[in-house]
Amino acid sequence: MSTVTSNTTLTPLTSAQVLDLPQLLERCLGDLAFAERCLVKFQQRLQADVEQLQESVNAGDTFEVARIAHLIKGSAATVAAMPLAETANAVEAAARQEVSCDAELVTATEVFVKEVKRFMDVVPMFSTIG
Amino acid sequence: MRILVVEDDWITAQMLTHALEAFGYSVTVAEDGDEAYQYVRSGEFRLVVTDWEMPGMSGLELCQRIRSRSSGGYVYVILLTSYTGVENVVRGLDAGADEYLTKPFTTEELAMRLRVGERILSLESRDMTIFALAKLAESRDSETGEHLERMREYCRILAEELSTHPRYREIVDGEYVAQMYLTSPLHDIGKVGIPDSILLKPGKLTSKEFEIMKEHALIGGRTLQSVAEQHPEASYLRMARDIALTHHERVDGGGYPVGLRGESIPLCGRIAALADVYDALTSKRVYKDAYDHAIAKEIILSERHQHFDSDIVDAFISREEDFLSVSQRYQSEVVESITNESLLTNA
Repeated sequence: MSTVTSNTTLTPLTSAQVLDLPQLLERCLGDLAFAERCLVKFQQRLQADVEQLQESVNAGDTFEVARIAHLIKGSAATVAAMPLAETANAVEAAARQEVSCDAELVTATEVFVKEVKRFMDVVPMFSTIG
Repeated sequence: MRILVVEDDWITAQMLTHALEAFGYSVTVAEDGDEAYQYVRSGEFRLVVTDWEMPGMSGLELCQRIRSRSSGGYVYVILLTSYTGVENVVRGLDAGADEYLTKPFTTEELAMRLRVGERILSLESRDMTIFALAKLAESRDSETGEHLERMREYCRILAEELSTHPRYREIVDGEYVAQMYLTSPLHDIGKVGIPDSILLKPGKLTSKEFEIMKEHALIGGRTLQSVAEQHPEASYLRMARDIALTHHERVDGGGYPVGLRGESIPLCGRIAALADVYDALTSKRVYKDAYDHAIAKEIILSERHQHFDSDIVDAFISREEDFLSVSQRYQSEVVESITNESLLTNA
């Protein structure tokens, strides 16, 4: 199993591409303060989940990788972080393949980790939305 | 109404709770299927929104466990999951989910799906159960024949007519008419609490006995009130309670059990009052022959503003041919039934 690195290059995204704020607010029934609390909580959880996911990738535990990626995909979609949900979905799909393909999983994880970083960089600007 | 959210992801659980509470639900969160199943077994939850992928018992297994239960009322389950694709939808529904929603949810769709669930729960076996209960109560009093069948037809006719009246158009819609038809047979359900010696007495009741007989309205009203409190989503139970409680009230305040006056008597009670009296007048009893329609009509007209609401008397007059038709139809069914019984006996 290859080790996850951060060599993949992606084009920088704008904040609007990282987070679909109107969609998030619809789900929060327009409650800005509640939306902000959810984002903060999501960020806190995300950091720990990503570390656990990388450890599982490195350990070759594809079952655990799929489980964590699925969890992140669901919560990312719920807070309307759609690119993050899509990259987590790619990790989950790679981990669930019947014939395991290490390279594909590692690449998907690298893309995902990059997206996580973008999300972490961009989202603090939403902390003032409430 | 109470709702059980089964979700191991804190964010999704919080967002669902936030939205559902805003919709007016009382929300309980379980973090996995095992915990959720214990809640379902308590019988306190009939609406469940569950994730699929969870530690321990999955949402799919939870659906299967709920469906394999042989006791309790129906539990409406919405599966809310990140799994997409037709194959997963089929698996979810096959496991027993009633609805399949994919994450991320939209509040509008969630609210709509829950309303569907509430409607389904409200309809569950209700029509048959209600009429069976009413017939059971009526079976103690054998002389009334097809009273419940005629009564609900008369109520339906009156409600239909009122739905065309400008004063009632906003209140009496199709659902109101259907609920009148459904719940009016329960008007005398409180008679189960009246002793046989009074209920089945062939002669005239003494004033003391009549006072006891009058209690049937309160007994029925209270019984249905307690059921309505347990099922606040079922508006028909509130109508059933109002009919049972108020169908002997008079608009002049001379009725019972409370002596309500005019429009303080619920509309459904005023409708049921006329339907009940018309049927009593046109049916044979131990103490009297059946009056024909013309005499019954005359009596009802003479009670306008006294016993009966004038708008409902007008509705009766507008639809008297329909009343007559129902009355004659059930009389001919009774004759046919008696003839068939005679043929069988003689064979």
